[in-house]
Amino acid sequence: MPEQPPRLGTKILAVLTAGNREFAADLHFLYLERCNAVGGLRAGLWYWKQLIWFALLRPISPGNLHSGNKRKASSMDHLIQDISFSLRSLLRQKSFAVVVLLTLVLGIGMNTAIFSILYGALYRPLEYRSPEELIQVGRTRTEVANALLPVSIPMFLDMQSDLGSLAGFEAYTGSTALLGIGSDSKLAQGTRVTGGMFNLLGVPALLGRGLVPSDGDLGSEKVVVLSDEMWRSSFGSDPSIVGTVVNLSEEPHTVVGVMPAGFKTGNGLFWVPFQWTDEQKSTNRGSNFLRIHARVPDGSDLTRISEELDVKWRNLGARFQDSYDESGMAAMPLLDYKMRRSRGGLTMLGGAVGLVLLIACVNVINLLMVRNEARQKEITVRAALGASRARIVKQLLTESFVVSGVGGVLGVVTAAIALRAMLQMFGDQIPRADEIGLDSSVLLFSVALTLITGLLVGIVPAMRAGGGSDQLRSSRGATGRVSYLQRSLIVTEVALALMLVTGTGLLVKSFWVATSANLGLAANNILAANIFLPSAKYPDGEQRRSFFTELKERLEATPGIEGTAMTSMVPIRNFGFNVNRVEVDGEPDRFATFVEFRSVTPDYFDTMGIPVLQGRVFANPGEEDSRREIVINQELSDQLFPDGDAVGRRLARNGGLEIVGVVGNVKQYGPDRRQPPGWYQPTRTASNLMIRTAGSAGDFVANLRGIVASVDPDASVFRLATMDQIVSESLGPRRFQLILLTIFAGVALSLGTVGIYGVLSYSVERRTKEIGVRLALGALPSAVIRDVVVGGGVLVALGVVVGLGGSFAMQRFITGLLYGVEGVDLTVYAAVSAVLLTVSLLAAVQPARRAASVDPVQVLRDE
Amino acid sequence: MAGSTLGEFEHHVMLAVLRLGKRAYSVSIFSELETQLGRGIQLPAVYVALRRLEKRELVSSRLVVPDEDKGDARHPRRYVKLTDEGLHRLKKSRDGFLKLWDGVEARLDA
Repeated sequence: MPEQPPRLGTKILAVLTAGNREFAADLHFLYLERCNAVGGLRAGLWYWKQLIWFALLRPISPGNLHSGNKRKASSMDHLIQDISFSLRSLLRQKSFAVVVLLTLVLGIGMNTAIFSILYGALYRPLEYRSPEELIQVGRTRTEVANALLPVSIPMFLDMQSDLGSLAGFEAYTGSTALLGIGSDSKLAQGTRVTGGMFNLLGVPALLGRGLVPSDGDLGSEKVVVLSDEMWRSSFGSDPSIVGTVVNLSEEPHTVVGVMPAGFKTGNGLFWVPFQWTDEQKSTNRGSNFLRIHARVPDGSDLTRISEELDVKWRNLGARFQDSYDESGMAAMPLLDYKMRRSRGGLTMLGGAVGLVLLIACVNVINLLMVRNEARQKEITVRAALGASRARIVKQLLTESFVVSGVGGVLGVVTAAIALRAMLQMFGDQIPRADEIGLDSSVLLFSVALTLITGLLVGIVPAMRAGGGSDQLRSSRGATGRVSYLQRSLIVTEVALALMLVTGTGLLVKSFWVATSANLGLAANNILAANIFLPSAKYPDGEQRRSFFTELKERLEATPGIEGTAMTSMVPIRNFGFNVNRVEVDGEPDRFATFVEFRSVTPDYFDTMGIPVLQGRVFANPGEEDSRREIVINQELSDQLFPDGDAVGRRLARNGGLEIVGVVGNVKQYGPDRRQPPGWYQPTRTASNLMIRTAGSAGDFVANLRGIVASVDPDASVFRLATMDQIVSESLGPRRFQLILLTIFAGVALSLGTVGIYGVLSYSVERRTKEIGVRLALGALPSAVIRDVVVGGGVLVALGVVVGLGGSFAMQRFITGLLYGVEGVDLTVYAAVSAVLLTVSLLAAVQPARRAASVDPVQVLRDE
Repeated sequence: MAGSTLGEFEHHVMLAVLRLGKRAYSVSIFSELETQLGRGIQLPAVYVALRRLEKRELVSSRLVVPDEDKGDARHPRRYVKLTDEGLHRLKKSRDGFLKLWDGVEARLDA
């Protein structure tokens, strides 16, 4: 139960009551009473309600009348007077208030929510000691821009032995292990790190200790450090966990520590140290799998550090030319590295939501101008009674600040709700989701946003209204035309909305292209499962093979199963092994770079529906000869053998690999990614089972577990998913962006419509007399309707033209996020323009009909 | 001023003051009104009503500052009581109501 009323509330109250504590004390007392009766939340709401009433009524406690210390009206009193006047006048015009507030709440709320995600992910410092000193280091290659690629063990050690101006240099890589707890076991993702990693990151352990350099010594005790998440979920937050032994892939490891929540390296839930043998330390210089974190002294010049690393790396390369791939080395801030994939998408969302706020502001400016226009008489009277222009502008500005302030407060509440919903729905698509929340930085942003909005929407209408006070004019004398400024605002609004909707349209198209992309395999009705066999029971390949042979026989005897195969890597889910460069045997000048390879059983292509384009698939593996056979994909064939004569040729690797066939390309990295050149090599067993079913693959999940258990109850099935699910998951970030953008575009479109409707109705209202006269003189109602609709249509058309220009310019910035959309996509532009024109014309219909139904007799009588 | 009519809410506040006797101050009046009227009311409205009533000399008030030396941690309270004029106005209003209600109460059930 909260003991204290809302802090912000008490502060506001202290200002409002100006030192008179009686009311505050009373309210505090009743608040506590209510907390007990109805709970803190409702009591808090009640507290705010009383505060608002206090601001509106401004009661002075009875005794003040007799105390005799009447103060002179200060500027604070003026302000409070203005604020309470604004609130009251807002309450009087309920529909105006609702429209304006809704607009601002949407604008400020959505911006606050997106900002919290943007800030939390891209800018909040990482939770390490002096995180600004941490960098990511990696190999660079000209073919892959901005990537920091992994290095091999010997190369890493050579680099580490000469730190230069670095303050630390440590390596890590992902590591999957079967975690055994009692008789239960589950597959867990962990990180393998060099012994100095924890010192480098500098985060103290929650329990026990982190890893230390001596943990990496060969032959020392096997130890593991758990993440807070794993400690909670798998060990029930056992406080005496340190010192216990857990099984990681059937090897006992002593738990030496638990790291606090929020500590992360890689994606791991636990950390184990590398323990390299002397052989590992000196061989396989070309086997790159280590990623590197490093620390630089505060204030270092990163460009210089990168250059220094690059020189050292190239020197090493010159010493070990056989395994050197002409790569360089570079560094970037760790936070930038971690966010490199999310930055573009999140920044785009930020830009989009900013556009929504701009549109909202334009709308509110318009509404305020209309309202001030209607209040011109009141303003003129006040000026005539002696109110200075400054005083009137101040009053009107206060009104816009009050409106934006209320909008801001409600916006933050909306943002909190929206943020919670977004994190719940898309938590796994948002980087650093667990660190995102409405904290002081976000609130500061909202306050700034609210103030800017208040100024933006208030200044123009206030200046105009204040300036007009010298001309005492009646509403009769109104010119009847909507001002030039208001028309420009409509054009702006339409243009902004069009840009946003176009951006969304392009992303929708891109998503559609991605989802309907030909993956190169028949994804429907394929089930992927990872099978784990305990190594105590299956110590060598022969036993594993006999298990899989039996499993395959039983599966294929099951009705509804059309085929099975095994692979080292499931497409899209697992990336293949990469080689930097592979040459055609005997032709060193003919080579391909960044080629991936996977091991599959011969029945893989048939099961997965990958077409064999030339030659054949490999023969039954196991016989000595067939191990040298490979099948390459179309992409590699096109790169190396443009004449289509791949079959029968050899690749210079492992003593020569003979190409026996060419198969179709598969989008191994996801439907929205380029397909890499690659080859398949034969294997007899692999840990991933792919099953093709006749019916829906999802229905077969329970069945599969049963069949595996029937072959051996000790075998475990993990990561069971249909290929369709895997494809859909890989599009998750795109879907997340798309859903949010669609919401933004929808809001922008609605706001635009409201804006057009508002201005047109207002214009009709002001022109009632003119329209009445025209009708009396014999004009047809249809002509009046046409007049109004055309009037609106011209504005919208202008907006569309401006917006299209803006969209062309904008497309350049989001090209990186678009897949399959190139150049100027006329369909999207045309469709969006048509939607906007239609919606706008619909907004004009009602005002137009009202204009046509003006009764000329009534108008003339009024005259 | 003293001659102008009593608003309904002011009337309610005065009755609450009467009912509470020596215990009548802002918070107790507020609670009494909420309990007896069975609806939510606003504390600032009670303050406004009390201020108006005091201005019209229908109630009078007395500030009691707790003696912190004696361990009284309560906040300062302004106790209110009806003035003779206030009591007179209430009585007059009640007489008026009773006369008007005389003989028509049965119709409420009809």
